[in-house]
Amino acid sequence: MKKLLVIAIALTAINAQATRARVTALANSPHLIDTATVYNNPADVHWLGGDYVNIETGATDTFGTPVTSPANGEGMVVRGMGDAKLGLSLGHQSSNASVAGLRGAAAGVPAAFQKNQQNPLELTYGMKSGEMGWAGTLVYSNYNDKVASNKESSLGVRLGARAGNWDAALRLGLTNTVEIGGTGKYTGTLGIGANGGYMWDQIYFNGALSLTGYKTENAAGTETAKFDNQTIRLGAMTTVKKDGSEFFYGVSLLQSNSKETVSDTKVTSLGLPVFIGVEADAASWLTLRGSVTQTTQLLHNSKTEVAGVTGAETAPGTGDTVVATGAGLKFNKVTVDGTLQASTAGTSQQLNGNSLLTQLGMTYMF
Amino acid sequence: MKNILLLFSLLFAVQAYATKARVLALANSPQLIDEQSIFANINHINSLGNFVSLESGLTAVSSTTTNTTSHAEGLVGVKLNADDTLVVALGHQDEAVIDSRHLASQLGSDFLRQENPVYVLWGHKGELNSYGVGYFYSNYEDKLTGASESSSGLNLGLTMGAWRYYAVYTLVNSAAAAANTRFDGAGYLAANIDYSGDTNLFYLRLIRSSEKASTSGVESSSNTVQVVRLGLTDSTPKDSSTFFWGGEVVSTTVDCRVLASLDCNQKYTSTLLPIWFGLEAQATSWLVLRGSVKQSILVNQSKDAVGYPAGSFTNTNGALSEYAAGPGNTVVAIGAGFTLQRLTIDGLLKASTTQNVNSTDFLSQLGLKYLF
Repeated sequence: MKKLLVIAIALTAINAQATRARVTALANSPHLIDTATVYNNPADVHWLGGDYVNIETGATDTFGTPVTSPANGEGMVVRGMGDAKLGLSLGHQSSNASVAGLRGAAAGVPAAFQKNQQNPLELTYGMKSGEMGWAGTLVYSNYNDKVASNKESSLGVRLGARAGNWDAALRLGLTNTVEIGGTGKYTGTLGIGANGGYMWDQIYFNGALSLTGYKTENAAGTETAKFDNQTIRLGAMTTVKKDGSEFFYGVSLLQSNSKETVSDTKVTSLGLPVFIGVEADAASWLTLRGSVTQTTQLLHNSKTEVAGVTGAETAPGTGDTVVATGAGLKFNKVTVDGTLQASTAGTSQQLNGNSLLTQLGMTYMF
Repeated sequence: MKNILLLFSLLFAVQAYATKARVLALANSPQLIDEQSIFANINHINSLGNFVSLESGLTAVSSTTTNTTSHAEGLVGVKLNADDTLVVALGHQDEAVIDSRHLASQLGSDFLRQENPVYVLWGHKGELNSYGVGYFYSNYEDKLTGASESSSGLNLGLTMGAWRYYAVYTLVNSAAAAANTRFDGAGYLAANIDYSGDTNLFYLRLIRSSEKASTSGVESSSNTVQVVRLGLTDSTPKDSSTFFWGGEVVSTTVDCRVLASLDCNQKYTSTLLPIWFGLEAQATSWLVLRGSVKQSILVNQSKDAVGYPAGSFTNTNGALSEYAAGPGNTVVAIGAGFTLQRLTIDGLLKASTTQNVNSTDFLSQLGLKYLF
């Protein structure tokens, strides 16, 4: 048991206090514990080494053209009171209620309803007792333009727990609505997201389940779309820590089924993505990190059917190799993270005065 | 009481002398003591030493901007003796003058901002009480076209223990866009009370201003603005770093009496509850990093029965509007200060909104300060 605890702690020791940029550069690997992963499992607040302030750069959405996360500005502060932790987050866009998630084009949402949370507020509270810590987060946003009859609201709860060799999280999207005067209404169904993991003999087994959906109505109240999605991920990964660096690799089985009832459209996919990443302390003040993700062609199927007729089917599918790189600059208790613009489409492979860091974030540990 | 004052001054020991960039990166939080904060709270002058501060920016200030941060200005502060401090500022555009002119410009003719303004401030630190007095002046006249502007005003402050009282009042605030188009905004008053606790600051701000514009003797616009701000901030210094948070209730009422030369008799009202938090940390001996996040929560109401132009007041968009919960206003700001001996260069990281750090997106709002 002690060996498992040591392994678990070692997995998360490098620059655990980091940012969205770190999570992006490390392929959103399920083993990461970070200021950004607190939004997935609130219990992670107990595993970041102390109280912190995290500030993420970005623009602000004013119910016009939406800003897609992670391009939005946000911040979070977590302070401890004995064994308890209190957290306040401003500006974070949850996956259930943002254009990067269930309110976005990828989910087939009409452009008129692609709106982010306005002035989102999240409150977190958690306790740690012995080896186990738990926490819960309340998510809230509200917008009401009485003249244009435009509205947006969201309410959600996140619960999480983590101990030495296991972790679990549950996310519930309770309300998720967008109303556009003269156009109609978007209503999210009860969104359920759950994920967990267990460390066994140096392998971290993990899984996630997501059940989401929405429906849209026109101004006359007629249903124009009804969308449901079920996504399941099962994976395994391992990390190797050596000399101030961490190398990890893993594989997942990813299945997604979505159905839109009005147009009778079904999309199914089944894939086996693999990921490899590394994070290394290049100097006392510099951490470099990178990852590559790709779905293996052993299992990379997708199929789209409209009214029972196959509209698209690939087996295996098109290339989806993604490389992400980033750097973290450490100054005493302040860490400034960014992803290298060299990973970005417009400035691919370049590192120069015009192409350096993006997705900048700053974390201060008390 | 002395211990409280000493602690209060120590709280802001991390680079107390800074620039507009610092103030912006730290969310304009009211507890900040800075040579830029002396224009709103002249009591802060008694915390300053000898310095020269230069702020980059424009000479010709656009009439479309109300932002006091976009123009060039310079300040020099001198300790006349152990108790007296004198500051002279050139180019400072004071919100007591330009806010109302900007509103009038949005509603009608284009009025000039302050031209070559001069601001003189003096502070005296006594054993029991401290006080400060300031005066600003600007003047311009084009005898051919008739364009002109003139402004003058007083800045007063008194510190009595943990209490601070300070006010700004404009004596003259007039401008002419052409021979027959005139603006008058005299009578701006900002009255403030602060109470400082061990680590916190309670404050009350009352601001009243008005603008009147006329063309050929006919009133074209007349508006009165009243703002009440009641708030609290708290600062926690630790290990050469300072974390702070704050919250306030902001209530704004604008009475429109004349608009486009017609009777208006409508109002704009808003109530907001912004909260913010931020930090300033000594990253290395030569580098200070700072950042803040500010956003309204729970209360973000406004009703505009006039249709003020976008940017005039919170949530205005040029049309009649009413928000029970207004649009997103999350503001993230990150800045850096480079200290080289007695010289400090401050800037706001453009990444605050662009997310990028490169040669195109690096620092903005550059300011330079020298302590002597």
